[in-house]
Amino acid sequence: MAEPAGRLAHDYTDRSRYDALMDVVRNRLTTRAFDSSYVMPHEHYEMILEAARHAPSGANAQPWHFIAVTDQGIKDKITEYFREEQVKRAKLKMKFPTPDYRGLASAPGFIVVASDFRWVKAFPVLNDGSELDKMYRENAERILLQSVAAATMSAHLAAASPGIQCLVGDRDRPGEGPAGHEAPARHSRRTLRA
Amino acid sequence: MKPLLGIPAELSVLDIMCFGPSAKPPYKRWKKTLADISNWNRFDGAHFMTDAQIDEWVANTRHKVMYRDAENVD
Repeated sequence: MAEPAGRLAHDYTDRSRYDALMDVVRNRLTTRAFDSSYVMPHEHYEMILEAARHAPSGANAQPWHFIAVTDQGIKDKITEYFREEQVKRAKLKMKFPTPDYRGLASAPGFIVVASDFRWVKAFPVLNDGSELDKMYRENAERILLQSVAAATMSAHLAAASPGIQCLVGDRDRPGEGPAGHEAPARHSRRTLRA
Repeated sequence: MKPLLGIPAELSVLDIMCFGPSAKPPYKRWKKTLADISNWNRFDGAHFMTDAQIDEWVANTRHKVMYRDAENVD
């Protein structure tokens, strides 16, 4: 029997594409102080968002929104939210070595990632309020977070591909933290981290 | 932040992604080895950490892997 045409047309032993990908993966680094003189081309934002758009997601729900922030005044206000959180953490003495977030304002590229937890309805849930339903809902929230994490990682790799570095933002602030994750405690379970 | 960006109340902000050229040479974060994260056909019990081991990691290792170059982590 002849091999399927697609299989014959593709060399699955060719490492060149993997090597190119790994070059980006290995060289993706985290920084918290940026060269503010660099003007991020609009095209770079689009390249990054295009990569995020192709990420896998549960039920193909694509439960993400990306807000590209180019206005320096808005960047400054968001940075101030982070600085306030930094001060709050210091007072709480939680012993977490909180990074210095003041460099955020100098970032030429700035994208806020948001999601809508109502999308858990798209995943397997019973919707009857039972204990079993609670378990399925917790699982559904993990599916949603994992989906957004996949999109964010795609975005990070796209950002890193031209040799640009990223700051990995915090995703786990409780309550009224600066990342605005005001979801109730049941949403605060961490399932992802770059 | 949500009012600032006009984000509806139903949505949650999960991440802030900042990117651009670094102002100074960034350092490479320490990563676990391939052996540390790999299991074949069955979870390798040697990879399981006790509560005490995790507490010890948080107390003595976390700050190193967060802020030091990989080559300078013990």
